[in-house]
Amino acid sequence: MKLSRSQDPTRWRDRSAEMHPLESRAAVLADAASQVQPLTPSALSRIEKRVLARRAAGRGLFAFHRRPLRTRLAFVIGLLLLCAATAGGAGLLWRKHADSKRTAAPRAVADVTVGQAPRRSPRVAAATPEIEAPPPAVEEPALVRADAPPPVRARPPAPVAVDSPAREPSPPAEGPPAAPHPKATEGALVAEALFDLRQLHDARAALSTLDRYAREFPHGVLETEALRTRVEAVIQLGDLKTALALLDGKAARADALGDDLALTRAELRAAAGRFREAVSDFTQVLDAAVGSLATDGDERALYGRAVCFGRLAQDERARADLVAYQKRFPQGRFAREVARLLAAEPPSSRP
Amino acid sequence: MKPFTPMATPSGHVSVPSPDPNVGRGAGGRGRLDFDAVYQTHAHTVARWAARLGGPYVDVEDIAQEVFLVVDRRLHEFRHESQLSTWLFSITAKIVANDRRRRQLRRWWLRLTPSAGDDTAAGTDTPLEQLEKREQRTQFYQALDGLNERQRQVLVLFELEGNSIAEVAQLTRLRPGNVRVLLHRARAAFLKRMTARELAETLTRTDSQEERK
Repeated sequence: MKLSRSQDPTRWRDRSAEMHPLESRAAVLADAASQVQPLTPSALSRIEKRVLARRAAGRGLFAFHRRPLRTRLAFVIGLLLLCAATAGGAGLLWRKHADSKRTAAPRAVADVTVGQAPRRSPRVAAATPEIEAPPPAVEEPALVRADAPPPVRARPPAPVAVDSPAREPSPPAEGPPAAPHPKATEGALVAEALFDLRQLHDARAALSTLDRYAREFPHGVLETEALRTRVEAVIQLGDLKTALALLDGKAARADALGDDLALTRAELRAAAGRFREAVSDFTQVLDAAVGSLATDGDERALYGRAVCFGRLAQDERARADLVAYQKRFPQGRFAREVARLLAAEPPSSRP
Repeated sequence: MKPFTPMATPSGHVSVPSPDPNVGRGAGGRGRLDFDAVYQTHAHTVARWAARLGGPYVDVEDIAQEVFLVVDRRLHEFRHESQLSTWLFSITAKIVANDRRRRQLRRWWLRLTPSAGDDTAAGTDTPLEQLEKREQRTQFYQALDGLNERQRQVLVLFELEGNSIAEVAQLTRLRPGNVRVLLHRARAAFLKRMTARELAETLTRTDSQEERK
């Protein structure tokens, strides 16, 4: 770096004594400032060691800063995508966990609400098989024919395979009652059975839990709820006979059962061809249902009784129920079938 | 490689021989540069630049380490389009400027008074002379702080480093004419600021003396 200095301005420090006092002061300051302590050999080797150590550390970490910009950019984008995927996955897991906690909550509170059976949510109720009265398979002008197939039928059995076509009801309370588990309280057991049945749709697990309930609490206060759950489970398995046997054996009168169980029994009886008993149950349900039974139950009872009257060849009474149905439930789920039956010619006018 | 031996001039200045631009290159002169060779040749120059550009506030060892970390990382990118010393000076100037900025911010927050004169060469001066020189050095850098980066670099290289205008132009990648203009303005700004500071100090001293009376 040997470049010409001939035309360079004079430095403050190189100027003669007659220069401006300010410049001479600046020269003094510059002179003081130009004196610096050079780095010692030990400092130099220390710096070199540190630099080499950092270089080695950099290699250990894939020497990221030495990579080309494109590689670094790709790595950063990949890292961001990975973070986003991880966050998304964590969010999904958290949502799943929160959902499972929400569904498990009724089990936890069951102990507190011993006196109340958990209500079925509309979604669960829709999924649970229940006895419904389809349009009577009557093609003739007569309202209902005695030789026609049973007007009331159960839904097709659930996909769960049934061991035997007619499954015997589980023994409710036989043998000496076992000592209840300290934690297995009465409400918890019934709630567990309901959870198995309505949330997991596992009728067998529900029945097993109810068996345990029957063994541990042979005269429990939740007996009716347990029976209701058992009937529901058995119906879900497609075993209508067992369901009817359970309800038949429990109480002779419908009002002792409760409205919903009585209605179920009436429909089961109608499905089994026991129309007279079914009419009796339907009538009791309808009499007791003024204001108390849900509209859906009332509708089912009225239509079911009309069908039963038809099967018993009591056309007038059947027609009266059908008219009452049409009046009360013009948009009901059997309304179209009821209209078709009423429009049909009465059997007396047939040739 | 020869060990470094500082050469003291009669006026007390310490200088080192200018680095050979071909040092560290391969046999062809434009081959791949070797870090060790570059370090051995330029470490002292870089440290001196750091000390003179930064003033009494910088930690020269830290600055030199930062500079050579950058050099080690980017030496393979050096294309010989300029002198190696130019490249090293630009790295040093940037790191010193960043360090000064950080220190100014820290000083603003903590109101720290600079521990001036730590790097001053002790030599054979008496303690009183050392104290005086330390104060003068502080005053020089206080006046220098009023200049912008370019002016600061040009003034330091010309007045303290003793480089010619052409050398300064080469190091700063400016044209000699621009360096001259910058130097002229830098000197004027420096003197103005120095005068203002000295005047302010004199006034303060007078006020305190009057208060004592």
